[in-house]
Amino acid sequence: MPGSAVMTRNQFPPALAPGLRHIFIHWLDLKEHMPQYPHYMNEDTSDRAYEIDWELSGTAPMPILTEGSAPATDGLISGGTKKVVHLEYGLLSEVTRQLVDDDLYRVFMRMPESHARSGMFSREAACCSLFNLGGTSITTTNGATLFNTAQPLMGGPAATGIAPNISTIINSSGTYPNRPNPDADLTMTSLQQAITMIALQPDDRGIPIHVKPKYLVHTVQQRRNVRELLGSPGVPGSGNNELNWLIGENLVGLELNYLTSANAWFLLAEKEGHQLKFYERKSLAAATDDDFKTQVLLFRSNQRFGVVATSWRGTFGSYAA
Amino acid sequence: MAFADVINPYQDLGGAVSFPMRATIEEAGQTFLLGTPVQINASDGGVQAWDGTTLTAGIAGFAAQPGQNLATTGAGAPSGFSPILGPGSNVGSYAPPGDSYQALAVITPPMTPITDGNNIYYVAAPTTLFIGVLGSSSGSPAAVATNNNQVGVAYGLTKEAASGLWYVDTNKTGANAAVRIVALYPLEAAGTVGGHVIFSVLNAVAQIFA
Repeated sequence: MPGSAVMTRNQFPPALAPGLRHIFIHWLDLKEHMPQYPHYMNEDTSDRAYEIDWELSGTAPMPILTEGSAPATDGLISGGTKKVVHLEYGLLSEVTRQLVDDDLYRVFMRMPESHARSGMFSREAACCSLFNLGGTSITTTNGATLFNTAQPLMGGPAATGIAPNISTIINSSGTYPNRPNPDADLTMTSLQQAITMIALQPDDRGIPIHVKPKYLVHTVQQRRNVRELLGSPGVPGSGNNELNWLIGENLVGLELNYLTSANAWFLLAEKEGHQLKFYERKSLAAATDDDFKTQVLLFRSNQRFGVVATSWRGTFGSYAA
Repeated sequence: MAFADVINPYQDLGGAVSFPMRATIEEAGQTFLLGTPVQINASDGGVQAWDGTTLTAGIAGFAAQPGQNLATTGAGAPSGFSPILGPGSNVGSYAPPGDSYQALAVITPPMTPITDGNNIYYVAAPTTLFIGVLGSSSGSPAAVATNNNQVGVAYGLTKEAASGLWYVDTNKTGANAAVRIVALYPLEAAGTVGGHVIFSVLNAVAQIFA
């Protein structure tokens, strides 16, 4: 690791000399670092070692009750659970007493502020891992990956038999996709298909949930593409003067700096329409002490939180062609 | 393009946790008990019960938690900044009732041990002293009386078939030795049959030092 484990005076000679006009301190002077995860994660708190989420289906649609007969019976179906075990994150920095004493600019006493920036990265990256790993190793209560071409429904084939107008959407009976098959780059066509796919999502018994995508999650590399798609008065790249129907969809581009695939893109409903969650177990806390023998100053910061995707509902993801 | 990086101290193992501990992904199918000598699997890096015979860099440490019987090596271990990539528990999870069509779903009971795919063990660093029971695998395995002249002697480690727990085996010496007795347990009189001894792992046997 390039960062020094124990910071000593010889490693930072400018801090000992007068006359510096300005010190460009990254963790203090790089101001534009607004948190991104609160924009799309449902935030909650926890006071336990773990939390368990459970998914439960509703009943099937109500059938016609013929004269003189008893209603059809139906019950709920138990889905799986998702256990989120909160993980601890921590960082320690050590500064010799001599460096602290001789630091003319009082920079090294501000280590906790640097830790705050480091801790925020952990939160952002952990939350964004739901997107980054959602096609491979992040699973929800149904045991399938968060973004999947065939999310198994608790109601099975009966559910997809009931759900209206999805026969051309699904890839297999009893499942519903929230990922294109195959993955597709972000274009007007693929976005249209994605909006259709998310808008027709049924619950696990086949009842449409009327979910509407709100955010188009994308990378910096896709900024131009997204602005053209969402902001052009006409359909981008078309000479036919067609109305850009996406303007009426009120989709909002949500650019995330922690996505790891340049061309991956995702759709998310409003927070109440999806189940991507951030559990705050212990907020970021800084502590400072010094070692009695060496007088080395110790700056320690810890936080603990859990990130989970309980359900795939209200989401869509493509990892690009 | 240059690729080298600065070699720096990474982690201070001192402090309130006096014994160096380490968490490493656990090998699949491990059901070992607390205190079992463990080793790092050479092919995939998973922690597994010591095979009892590898005496060159053979023991990584002693288990601080039981084996979790993971389905695959490191099942659920976080990747980078990800959350735990699994059900969060391994023991006790069962499938939802049969009217669900979600074959991969599991119901995880509360109070079952949590798992993040790692196993935590006390590192068999030569500077850490361990304590165990003295016995012998000669003939019918049995407890052995402690004796002051055992201090400084190197013995082996053997798993007791009946309990699954391991003991310091006076029947294994010389090339079969794995540990060296540092002291007898001070709360037991010398001569106690099945008394405890304090030992360190031999340098050559220790697989990692911290």
